Amino acid sequence: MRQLLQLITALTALLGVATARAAEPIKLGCVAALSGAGADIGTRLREGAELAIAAASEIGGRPVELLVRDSKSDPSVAQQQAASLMSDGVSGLLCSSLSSESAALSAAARAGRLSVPDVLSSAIADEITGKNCNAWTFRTVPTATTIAHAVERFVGGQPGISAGGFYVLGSDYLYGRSSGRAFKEIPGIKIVGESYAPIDTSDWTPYLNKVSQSGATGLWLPVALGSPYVQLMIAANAMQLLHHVTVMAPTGLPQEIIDQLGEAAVGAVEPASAVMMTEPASIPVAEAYRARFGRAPSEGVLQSYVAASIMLQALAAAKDTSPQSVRDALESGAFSTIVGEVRFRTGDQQALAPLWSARIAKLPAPVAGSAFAFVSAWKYAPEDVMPPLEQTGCVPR
Amino acid sequence: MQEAALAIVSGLLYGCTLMLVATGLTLIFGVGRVVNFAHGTLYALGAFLGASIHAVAGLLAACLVAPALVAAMAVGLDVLIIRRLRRHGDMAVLLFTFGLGIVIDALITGIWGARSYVVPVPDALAGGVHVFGGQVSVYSIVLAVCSLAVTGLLVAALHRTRIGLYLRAAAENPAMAEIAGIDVDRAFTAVLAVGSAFAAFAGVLELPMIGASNGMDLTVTVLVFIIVIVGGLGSLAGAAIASLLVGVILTLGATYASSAAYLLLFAAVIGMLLIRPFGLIISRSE
Amino acid sequence: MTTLLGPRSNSPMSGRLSWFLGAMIAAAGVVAPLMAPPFTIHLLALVLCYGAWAMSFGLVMGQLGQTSFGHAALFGGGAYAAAWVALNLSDSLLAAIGAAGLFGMGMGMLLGIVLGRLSGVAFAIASLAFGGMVTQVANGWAEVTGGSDGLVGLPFPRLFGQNLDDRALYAVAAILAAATYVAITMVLRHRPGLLLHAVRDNPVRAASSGINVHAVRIVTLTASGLLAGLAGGVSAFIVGSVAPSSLDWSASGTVLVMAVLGGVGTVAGPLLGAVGYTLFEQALSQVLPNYRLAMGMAFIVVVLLAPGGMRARRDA
Repeated sequence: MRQLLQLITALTALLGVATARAAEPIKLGCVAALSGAGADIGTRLREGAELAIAAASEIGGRPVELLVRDSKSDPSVAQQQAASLMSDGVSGLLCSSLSSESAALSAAARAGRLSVPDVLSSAIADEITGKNCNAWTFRTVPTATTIAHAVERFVGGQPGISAGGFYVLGSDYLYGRSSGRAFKEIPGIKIVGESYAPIDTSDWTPYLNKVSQSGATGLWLPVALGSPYVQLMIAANAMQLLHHVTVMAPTGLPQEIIDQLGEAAVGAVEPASAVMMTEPASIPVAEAYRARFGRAPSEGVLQSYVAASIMLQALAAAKDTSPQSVRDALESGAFSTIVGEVRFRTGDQQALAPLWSARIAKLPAPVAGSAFAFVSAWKYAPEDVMPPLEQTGCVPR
Repeated sequence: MQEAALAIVSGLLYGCTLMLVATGLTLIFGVGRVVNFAHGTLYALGAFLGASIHAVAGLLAACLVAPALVAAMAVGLDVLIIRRLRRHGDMAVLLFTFGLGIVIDALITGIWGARSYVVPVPDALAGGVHVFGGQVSVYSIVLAVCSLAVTGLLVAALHRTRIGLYLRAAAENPAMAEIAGIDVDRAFTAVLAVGSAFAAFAGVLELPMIGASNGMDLTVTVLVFIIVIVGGLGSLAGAAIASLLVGVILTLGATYASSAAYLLLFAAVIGMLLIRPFGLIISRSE
Repeated sequence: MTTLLGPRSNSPMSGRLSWFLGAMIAAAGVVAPLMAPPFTIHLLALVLCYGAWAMSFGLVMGQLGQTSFGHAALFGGGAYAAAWVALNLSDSLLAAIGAAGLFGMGMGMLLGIVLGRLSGVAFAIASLAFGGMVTQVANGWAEVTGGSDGLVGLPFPRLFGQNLDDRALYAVAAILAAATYVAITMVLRHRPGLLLHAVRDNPVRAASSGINVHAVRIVTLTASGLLAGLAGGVSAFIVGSVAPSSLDWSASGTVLVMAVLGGVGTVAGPLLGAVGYTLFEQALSQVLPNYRLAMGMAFIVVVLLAPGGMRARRDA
């Protein structure tokens, strides 16, 4: 029996070596966390990309195919899958969800290990297009520093939130600390406490107690999206913390949580949102998502949708479907998206796109079946909030 | 000072949730002679089953049905496979449970997908209690009380009832127990069922606090094996005390400086292993 | 009839079949870099590292009789050491994997010293806790290990002034796997092998005949750590990054599954298991979303078919 297994193993090895791949459709890769701690956010990003591709027409007579790979919430696996997709002939990469995997892919591109354009639409850590900037990595969502600038403007006009000072509660990893650091550097912000919880924390009570004891009226929450975030919000609601503390969520709240918390979520702020489903241009996409997946989309879905639609336009504009040509098209193009016209800044390849400060409110009419969601409270032009290139730490190679 | 007191209280409550899982594991080994590497996945399975049952019938039904289903599965596995595997030694059974853990985890992902499930706290148990300048949720107190009650019942049953006597006899000396007329196979099956039910029950109870999510089995497995090492594998009292201790250490660590807590546990584990390595397993007489 | 902890058959048929398989694998191994697309080479290089790791595990489980659920700490620890050196000190291949091997050795020695008096299930449980602890350190000590994000952006290493690419790394991995195989085979053929088997089969009797059981275990685990660490170091360069997932309990479980599926009692079995497991995983994961279910079931089947091989040796 075991020898039969060994024989099969040997044959598979030989077959694997001999197999060559060739295909007709234009291929795009989607490396997302579909299992493990990041599965929630990864699945949303995949859905957004799938939605955009399903709505896309053929390019040059060829259909576009999305090859999906599971990164298992592990940056090493993400890198492997990206390399595998590159070998499969994809013209570009989408979906990368967690900051750890986005950082890994960006660093790999910078080190010369990945040479395929990657449009990131989720992670906000500065380093990804800052210290590790490179020609292949593009990002449609704002950096932590950009978000901090938007926060500064927002908080400046809302004295009630900052009266008792802010408590920073984040997950102890790149995104959490990057966001926390950027937030603390905002001029005029009073910080009354700071904690970083291990990334797989499920018992948030000690941290929430510290928040409560600090007297903070604002809570800055760069917590990893996914189960830890869900658990935190449930615990915070159970402790009735949300009654006297305004939650400021750098990456928003998953729509399922908003739906579940309902009235209790009203007032939570997302100081710099890249796209909201309640904006007029987004509503059709939200409804399309609901038609396909049965619920209202989270921001991750829409962010990924925007990135995918940009990639598709770049594919159409590029002179051929080779990664290099698509990259050039991304670098120089202007793209029409549900958030308006978007182009990528030369140097760090961050998107020049509007940002909104948003607040959870009860909607006058449900959107995609949800009665509560983030609505726009203020809109910023990119120039107002993005740090100049010299300050990002990006030294283009 | 208040902060420390609050942390200790939270830690004790957290320890109670771990106690339920650790008790099940200890029972399965101490009396059932099975090192159950699938214990964490049984906990996760209980949580996911509980979430689904809750959606149709509420939390109370979930508390009753999910552990029963998991226990039934454990019974089936014992009768069909584990019983026969026992005679090949502890390692064979351990490796089987390890493989079982992989299979159950894959089944969970296959059936429930990669998402997490959240369950709201029942209205009757919502709200918090103010202690030491902070808050402790009513639900966590209820959970702790449940854990202690169930663990207490188990210990009482083992030491005060006749069935408990038979189980302990079967564990100490299966051959003699057989001669004395005890159906050892059935005793072990019962123990497996109860221990698995405990793990599943813990998973359901914790739904309103942490929900059901991927990876919850891994986190709990490492913690619970640390607990049984520190408490002495096979000792229910040891597992209970160690659970509380670990809960307090982890919460103090979270309150003051996260990494130190795990290093402290590390030291405790190494210490236990160096000081009484042979005391780790109650030796088997054959 | 073969069991999991040692070949019990000396039939010429199984011997010849093994040689045939070995020759086929070697042929594939040599031909691959010439013909295969780049990602396949990359994958095969990684497979060879896993194979070396699995063989080092087989040394401990199959030959020494200790089933460790913390073996990923040795491999992953080596990977982290290599990554740290490459990012902070030097991109020299020798420096990095030298560090990797040393670190793995240290881990193995620590494991042996602390856990060496335990046997069977006690060792299994304690090694799980050990692995868990190492994972916590990797997750927590962010300044050095990068925390839960790990260390990313590893450059390609340099050897004799040349940058090594995927093909060159494949050669390095192949040499490592071959060296590991030869080293273990040599050890088993001489007196150390006898000591190992004596300790495995009957620790009490071995002790009473004058063998220092604890010392044998420490030395074996140290050697295994060295091999696993080296394999981890090379794998870090192939992948380009390291993360706590190369250290944790599921990683330890993976190497156990690989070794058992391939046959943990032989020297080459774990290597074949690693090859088979990884290639099946690649092939199945695209066809069958829940390939882990198939893997788990295959593992259970193997355990059930040869449970006698799992027996922890008892006192006579």
